[in-house]
Amino acid sequence: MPLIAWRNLFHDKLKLSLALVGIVFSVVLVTLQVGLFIGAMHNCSCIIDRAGADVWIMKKGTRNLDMADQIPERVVFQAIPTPGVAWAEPLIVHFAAWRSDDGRQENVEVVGLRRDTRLNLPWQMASGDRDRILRTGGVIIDERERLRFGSGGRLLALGETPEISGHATRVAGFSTGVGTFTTAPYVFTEFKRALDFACMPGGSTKFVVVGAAAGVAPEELARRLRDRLPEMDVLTTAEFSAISRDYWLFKTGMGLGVILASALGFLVGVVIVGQTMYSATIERLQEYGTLKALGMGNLGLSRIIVQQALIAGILGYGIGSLIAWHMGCKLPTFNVPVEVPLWWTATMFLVTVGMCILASITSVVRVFRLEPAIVFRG
Amino acid sequence: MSGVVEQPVMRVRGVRKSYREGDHALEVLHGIDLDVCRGELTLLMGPSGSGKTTLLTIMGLLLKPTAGRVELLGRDVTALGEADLPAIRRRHVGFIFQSFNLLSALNAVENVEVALALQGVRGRAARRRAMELLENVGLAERWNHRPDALSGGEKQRVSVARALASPAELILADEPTGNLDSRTSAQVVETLRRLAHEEDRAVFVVTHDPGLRALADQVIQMRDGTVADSIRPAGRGLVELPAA
Repeated sequence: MPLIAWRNLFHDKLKLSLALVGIVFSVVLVTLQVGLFIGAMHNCSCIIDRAGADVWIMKKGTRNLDMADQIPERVVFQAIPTPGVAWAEPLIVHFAAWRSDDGRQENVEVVGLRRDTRLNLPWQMASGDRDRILRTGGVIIDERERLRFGSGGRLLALGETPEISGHATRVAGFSTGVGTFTTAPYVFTEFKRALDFACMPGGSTKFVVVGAAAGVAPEELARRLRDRLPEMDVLTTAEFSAISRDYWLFKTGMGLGVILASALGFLVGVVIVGQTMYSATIERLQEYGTLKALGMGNLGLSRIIVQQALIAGILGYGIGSLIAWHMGCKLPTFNVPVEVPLWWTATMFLVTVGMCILASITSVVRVFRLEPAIVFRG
Repeated sequence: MSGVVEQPVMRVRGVRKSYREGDHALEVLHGIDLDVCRGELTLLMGPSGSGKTTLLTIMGLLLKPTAGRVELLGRDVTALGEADLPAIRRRHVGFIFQSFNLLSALNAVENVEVALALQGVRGRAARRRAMELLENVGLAERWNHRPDALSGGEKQRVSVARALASPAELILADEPTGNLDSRTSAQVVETLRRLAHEEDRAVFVVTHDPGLRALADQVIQMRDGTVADSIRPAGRGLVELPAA
């Protein structure tokens, strides 16, 4: 009886509003929390995933891209003769302090690339020519950091001369869409400048990245390199990406925090919707009793209650997902790494439906236990 | 030779009902026997607490007796569970309540349509039939009003129209005029009488209103959980069979 469910729901607009607030809150919270998780997951391995290397060589025990120990740069030359290696080059990723023209200090993560690098980093430029910048020695920072890294309330401009780890440099280009899940944005520069910024001695690097020759599988190449460099960790891009994500999202507790917040959002939704539905059911017990007396079975009554929850759920989902989608579009511009992909928006529909069905269980149980004799107790 | 065959729609035999109160049981019905027949308007009267409502609830198949037997159209329904009873109530029992029990979120015609939907009549056919039923009780013009916009008499007439939506042979009414003024009461009683005498249904009414006695085919008086008296005016409710 969709009519009864629909009319019951809209008859008491205050209760409907309360239920909708609960559902919308829950949908927005869960969507954005999981969006944060997805964004963080992509951001914490984006350099690995987008660099274009097939195999990564690093010091044994390295668990992520951002906090690796140094290794000798000569590993590059040890790797190159390995059958199946098309190219190999050093790569530095290291936290450093950036001091603006007005003396403010921020943390950045310096990424040092060889002048003739084959890596696809940064993968998108907003202004400036990457190869030229690597040759002439400036730095590239993402354009979304311009406000934060600008001095005197102005946007950071090309040509400004901040210091990184006490070394003067020049902003020569802006990348776009290069996010970070930490508060320290990636700053791309030439390898030797990066050694200075990272206070690392010449002849050292953090990683050696390797490209596989045509027809050679990364797994096979990694296996050969492991044989050749037993003192190093050698991982394919997929393996290193997974290890890095696992470290940041689960070993640090960050991901668990996000998952917990999502679960709490879901729970809040269930409780608010459940409470609203239950009190609406209790108010109408006499009417449900009447329907029972008229010959409606428990299944029919349950259907009415679940339909009410579903209608509220669909309305709440519609409003909530619009808000979440809008926030998902806006938040990244404020450096919040939220991603709300279409598949997750669609999944949230099922999550919302599940939440509403769960929320209606107590009401269904109450109606199942309802004695139809209640109709004569007026 | 002529034979007289009484065909009760509902037969109640030796019905007892007791409720647990702490350690001991409180019996409110002490072995009730009665028949309710087609084409008859039966009144159940008695003081408050005499067990009328409990008996009505048992007859509506909404409550199980502690002992005894309830037969509906010749079938013993005493032992049936909630899995079977809704379908039986849907087909064979109609209810009219003192407090109307209309669904507050639905308007008059939709309240009747709900009962029709339970009979499997839906869509335009249900709307057409519901409007006919409201017309029968003189409420066609108020079809789109919700219960809170209807007077007590109008609500009771919607309730009657809803009871008529099913082909129920047995109509059970609990104080149908209890909340109505005398003019509206007369209209409702007339509708009930018509149901019994013109539509050949068995109408069983619990009432305190002695004014209804004159219209009844059978009056059952209850006292302290027993049938104290049963009066059946001669010739009413009996079917004369032709001689074999």
